[in-house]
Amino acid sequence: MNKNTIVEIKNLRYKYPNSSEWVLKNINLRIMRGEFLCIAGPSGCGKSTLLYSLNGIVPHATGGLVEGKVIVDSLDTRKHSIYELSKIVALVQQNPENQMRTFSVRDELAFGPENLLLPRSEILDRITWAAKMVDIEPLLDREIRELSGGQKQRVAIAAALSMKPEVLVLDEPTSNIDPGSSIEIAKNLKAMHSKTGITIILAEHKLDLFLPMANRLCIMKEGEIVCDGDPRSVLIRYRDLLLEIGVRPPEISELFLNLTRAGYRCPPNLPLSLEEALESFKGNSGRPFKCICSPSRDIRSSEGGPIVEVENLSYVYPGGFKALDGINLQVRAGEFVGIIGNNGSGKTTFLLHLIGILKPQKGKVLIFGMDTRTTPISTIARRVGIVFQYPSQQLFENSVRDEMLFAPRNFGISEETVAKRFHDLLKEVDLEGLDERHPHSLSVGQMKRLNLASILIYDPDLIIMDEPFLGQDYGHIRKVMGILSELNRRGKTIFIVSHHITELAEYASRLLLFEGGRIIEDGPTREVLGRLSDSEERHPFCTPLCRLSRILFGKKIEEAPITVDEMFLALSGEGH
Amino acid sequence: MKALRYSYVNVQSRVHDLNPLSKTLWLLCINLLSFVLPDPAWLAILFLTIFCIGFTARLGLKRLVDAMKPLKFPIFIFLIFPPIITLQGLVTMPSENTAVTPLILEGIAYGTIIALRFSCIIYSALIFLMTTKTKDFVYSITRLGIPYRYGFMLMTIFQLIPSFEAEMNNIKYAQMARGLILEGNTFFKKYRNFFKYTIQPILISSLRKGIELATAMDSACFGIYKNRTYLEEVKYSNLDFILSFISIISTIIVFYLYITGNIPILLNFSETLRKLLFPSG
Repeated sequence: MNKNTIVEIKNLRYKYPNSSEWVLKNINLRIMRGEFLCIAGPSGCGKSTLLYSLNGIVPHATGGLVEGKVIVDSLDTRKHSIYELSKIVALVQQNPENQMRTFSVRDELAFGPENLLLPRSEILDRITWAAKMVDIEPLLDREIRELSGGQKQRVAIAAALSMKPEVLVLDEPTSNIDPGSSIEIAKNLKAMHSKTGITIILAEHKLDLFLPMANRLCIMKEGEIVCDGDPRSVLIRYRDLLLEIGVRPPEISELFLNLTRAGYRCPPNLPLSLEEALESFKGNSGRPFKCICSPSRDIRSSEGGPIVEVENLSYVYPGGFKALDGINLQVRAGEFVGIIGNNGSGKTTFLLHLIGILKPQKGKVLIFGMDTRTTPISTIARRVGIVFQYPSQQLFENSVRDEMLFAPRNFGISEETVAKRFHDLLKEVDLEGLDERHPHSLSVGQMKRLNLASILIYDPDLIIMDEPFLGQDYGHIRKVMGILSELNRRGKTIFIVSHHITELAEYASRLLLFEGGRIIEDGPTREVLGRLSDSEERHPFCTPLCRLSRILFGKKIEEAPITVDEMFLALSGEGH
Repeated sequence: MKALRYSYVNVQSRVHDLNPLSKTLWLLCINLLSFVLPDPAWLAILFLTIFCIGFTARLGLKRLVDAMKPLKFPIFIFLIFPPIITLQGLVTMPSENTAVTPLILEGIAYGTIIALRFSCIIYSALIFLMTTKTKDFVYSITRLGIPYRYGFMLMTIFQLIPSFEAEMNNIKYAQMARGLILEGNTFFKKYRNFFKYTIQPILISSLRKGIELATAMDSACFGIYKNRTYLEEVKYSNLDFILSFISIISTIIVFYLYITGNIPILLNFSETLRKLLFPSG
């Protein structure tokens, strides 16, 4: 093994205990010291398993069958323990909540070095260094329970760094984090990588955020690495394959790839970020694009009467936390409403009021004219289908079939009535043939789609989904959004709470921004995103593409393109 | 969150600074005294002592009063049931009369004593929880020679309680949202629904959490050596010696008096109750 090589994987195959399928198939990968490698791929393609094989969790903790070799800094992971490997490879997992081992930030950072029996003075030095690297020095004396999800994830990264590893492995570190915190984490990683030269291996769906700082991109599909190389070359050469397997390139890159394909003169270096896109526009004195502002997308409007009426709604939790503070809102039948906002801004509390689980302490909520203070939840629930954030907490039965029939049985709807819809829905959400499977044996993405099918089966008029894209790859995101769009076209009202602004920009006709328990932005999606693009402090809530659009097309907020397709049409003039 | 209501309160006080081991000793002595002291007046004095320690710990009057809420359960149980089920001979205070009324009176007296005993035990435990960091407690017991893995197991349990509570709520909300009627259900139906629909997601979620936490601990080399360094040292101060001394001495004295049958009865509760409720005799 070359001394510049930190990880070498040769012909790696792996299958979990009691499984007949190989999760990893013939993986060959050499990672050099100091590389920033981004691994992408559809859900269930083996990204996490590959990452966990680097510090020996696979196979030492998981068991299962391994073939081939994983060598990390000259140590064969099969012959060395997790402990030995963890001194070289530090791991940060998806969910910050489940990886905190102590109660305070300082203790969390000290935890690893304490286990290594290091002297106190060295532990203190490591804490200071790691906290500085991730910019959490002001948090050192805080209790972990007081921190936001984003802060906890930064603490997890700092705790991993305090082990002074050669390689930092991160498994979708921003999947449960709001946009502002995700940007913070990306910035921290970028700064830390340039300061320390540490090798970073990161599995992520959010390529917009991390690809601009990566110097290598690997794409996995069904346990294999199907493309590997410089991010720009991979995006250019394998564009169609990426979209086919459910990996979406950064929006900015997608735009330029579309333009290139349509024959427009584009910069030789494919832009990955807003900054690079702007730079490429500056460099093109020959006006390569027509720059005609012509968004062709309709802003869907609704003619129906109000079905959601919220008046001066406030709610304070028993601990004193004011979750909602004077919310006023009217939503008409047939609207498609996107809700965005940081974690803790009141979005989920608001949703719980829409179905009557929480009762207004001040103000009132009327759903289809029913006052939630006096109407039984089950009466409201018959017309309002809600899917909460975490899929496994919403599965109660022992088979997919029974799970889907759980609500109809509670509502007294006969199985015959829903029989046809049952089969159609299973097909629509890609769970056909899985009727007898145990719901908890499904992947996160499948569980989430089962949650959706379990409410659609009783045909509610208002459909609410909290973070529907959790665990879904791009292909399934499009599928779920397709189903919801079709329902919306047929007159159903849709509410979606999500941190995925790109998808909301594409599908929602109206956007609400929550902050500190208030709705601080409300309007047609295009206009709200335009206003957010204009305000620097709100940039995390709009996409780089929207910002590019505002910079290129000036002040006409109501006409600014907000999706890749619209932007393509506007730039190419093909919309006319 | 309910589970967090009685967790560590981050204020500076002499009680907070005490070594968790001396506070554990104090807690143990309170428990022993609660079972030995024979009449409500002594138990009330013991309860007052615990309250004063909570006050010295600067927990605030509101929080101290709030911490009495969990006492409602033992008070309710022991004041209602003993008068119904008490039989002559099992009561702590003798009765010359086998009629129903004195029997119930003795039941009330007995129930009051048991309720006070449990109140002292629960209240002192809550004061302990609110003034002791779990981490410090774990560090102290490992210094006694208990393997640190067991100590951290305890710490993990404390850490996971709030998240389980939040998950239970989420599951309940999801069930209600899909038409399962939880409001106004009978005791039997509530528990049937709980076992049928809630245990499974909770168990699976606990397993997942456990695996992720174990991965996080393994990845930080937890358990690699027999010992580990502790960033902070939990010390034993003079105040710790004084508290330990007072706790041990007072318990020994009370036990001696108990064995020799010399604990003075400050208040014959059953007799007082009888006089209050039935002045005519």
